[in-house]
Amino acid sequence: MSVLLPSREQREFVEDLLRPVATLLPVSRLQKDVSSDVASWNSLAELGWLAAAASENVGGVGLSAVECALMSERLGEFLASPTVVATIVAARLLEASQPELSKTLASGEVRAAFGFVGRDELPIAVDPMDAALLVVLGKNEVSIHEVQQYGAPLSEAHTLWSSSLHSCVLAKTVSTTSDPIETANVLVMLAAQSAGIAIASRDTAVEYAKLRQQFGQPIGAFQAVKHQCADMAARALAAFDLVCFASVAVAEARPDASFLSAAALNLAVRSAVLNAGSNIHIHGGMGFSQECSAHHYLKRARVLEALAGGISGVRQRMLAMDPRLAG
Amino acid sequence: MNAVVAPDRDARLAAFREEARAWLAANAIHEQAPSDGPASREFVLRWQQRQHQGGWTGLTWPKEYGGRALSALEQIVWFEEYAKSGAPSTHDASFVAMNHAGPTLIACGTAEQKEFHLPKILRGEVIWCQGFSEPGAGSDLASLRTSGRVLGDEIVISGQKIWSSYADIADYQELLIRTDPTSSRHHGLSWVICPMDAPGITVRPIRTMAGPRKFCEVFYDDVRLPVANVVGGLHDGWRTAMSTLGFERGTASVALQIRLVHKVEALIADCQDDVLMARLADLRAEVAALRAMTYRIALTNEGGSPGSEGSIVRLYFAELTQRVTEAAIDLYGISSPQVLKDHGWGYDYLDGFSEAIAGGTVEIQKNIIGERVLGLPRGAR
Repeated sequence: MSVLLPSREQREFVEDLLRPVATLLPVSRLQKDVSSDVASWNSLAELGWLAAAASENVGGVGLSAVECALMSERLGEFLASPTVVATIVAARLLEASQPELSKTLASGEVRAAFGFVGRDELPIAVDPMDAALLVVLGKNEVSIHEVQQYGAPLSEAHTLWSSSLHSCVLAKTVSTTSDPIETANVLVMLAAQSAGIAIASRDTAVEYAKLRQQFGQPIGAFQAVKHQCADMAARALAAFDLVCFASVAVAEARPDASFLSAAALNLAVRSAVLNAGSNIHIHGGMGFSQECSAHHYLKRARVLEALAGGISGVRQRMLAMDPRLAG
Repeated sequence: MNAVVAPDRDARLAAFREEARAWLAANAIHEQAPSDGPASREFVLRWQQRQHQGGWTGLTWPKEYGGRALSALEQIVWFEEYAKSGAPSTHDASFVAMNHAGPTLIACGTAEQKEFHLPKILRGEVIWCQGFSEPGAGSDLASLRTSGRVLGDEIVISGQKIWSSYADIADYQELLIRTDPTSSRHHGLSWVICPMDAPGITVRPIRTMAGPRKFCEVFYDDVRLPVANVVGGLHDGWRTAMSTLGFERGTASVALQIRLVHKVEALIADCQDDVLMARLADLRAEVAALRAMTYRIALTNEGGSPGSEGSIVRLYFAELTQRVTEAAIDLYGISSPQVLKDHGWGYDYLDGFSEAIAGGTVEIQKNIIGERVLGLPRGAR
């Protein structure tokens, strides 16, 4: 209980570690190819990002849940493919049961993608880039499966969700964990990406509101716009602070880690969708065009929501929590 | 907060929590304060005295003025246990003394002012009220006109304040006046300690839409106060007032925010309606976020005013309180005992409308967030 927040050292460490993200994964890359993170995969591996969460005996860096959440938030801001975080998570989840497989994930040789169960109960992989493994968040567990085969993309990625969605045939299940702390960790890693979208949407909207002139002044001077920005700031801060708070609970293996991570996921997923929508709106006609990046944040926010189990799943998870852990 | 924590920190904190819990179990009053009038004064002071005797007041205040000089972490633990115990809401007639006047005096007061007032506040001897708003100066606080003519070592005050909660039962008021007659806007103001029994003061209580006659109009007819009652420098009252509002917008509401967590849990326990359940799921997450934000601000601004970022928490708290009380009315219906009873959800729902108005409306908070946190240009008001 005496540690409730990420420390300054943890924040600065992650800031340093993730410094190359702006040049490696500029959001503008999505204008060319929405599923292009395969091109920078080796660089991500060399920077050690994929090995962040895995422990040292499988070649990992062994960062705590707090640093990993801060990383994931930053990756979310730059709309890094969810496959990056899925690989980080899988390397950690498999380190005890399948150390050899975990090593290949941490080194970047093998990829793991996130998947979710679609309407017809069939698994859907997000941006798989031929990933050998699929990480799926279930009601009370996280499971990792071998993928036997991917189907054709479900839609043209660049028009709908800024991610390629593929049906897939799963081979065997590699691991299933219902450990509350490990599960909470995955929730926080997903929530952190959404929080990153809420933050980046706020920042791009505010930046534009300072630049764009109408009626002889920046539109951000008008309360109708300024107050939308303030609402975005409140949503982004709430999501980020709760993600941090939950990540510390996970790192300390506290009993309220499950509760807080479920809350973080609920809040971050909704904040990302709302802030991304406001960002589009504040950009006006430009925001509605594909030439502006604003739409990518909204699309990715919806993809992350699906990975979290859909809004209904997110709410059910929240309600399933033990009230004694509320605070 | 430090990454390196003394190894016995957890143990000491756990012992502190246990001590707080045990004391509250034995001593907490389980009824709510009467809403207004002398009964409310008597109740609030008695409860404050009991907490003081137990050593639970002014946890983060300096030792020389009767505080315990503990960290924000202990304060948080106390408020958590306080809220769990079902003790009276801290949003009562003691709120201004404990959360406005006290912290403002600690930050800006003279040694004499601190020595005289802080122990009285902690011991539960005095009630304070706020005197900022005027009929013509609400959101535009800097347009206030109540004047204080400086004559030698006295200030002679005339004018009118409004929305001054508990002014009718208060001993002192934090009063913001224009002491430099040639000044305008936020220049030339002074924050003065005004004893409510000074000759020339008339108080008229006003009934709120939620029922209680708790907020008041106060009239000043040549009220004479010593210049020594100025806090934070003559004509420099805007800075003092902003520090006061900073406390209100930040850490002052920790206990209320934790209380909200338990209120949402009560709604979830009573709900069997799927449509409402979805809303309650979101509210459960939102009160958790409010708690996370509050803790971060309390822990990173140890003892200080939280600054503009406090406006985000204030805004979030106001809007969230309203969503929670709306959900309660929708869940129970207007004729249920939970809504109708004394201090029930009906009262909370109606009283909740003040959250988006008092201490700076949500629109003012959004201006502050837009301009001071996000750096957007100032526009027409």
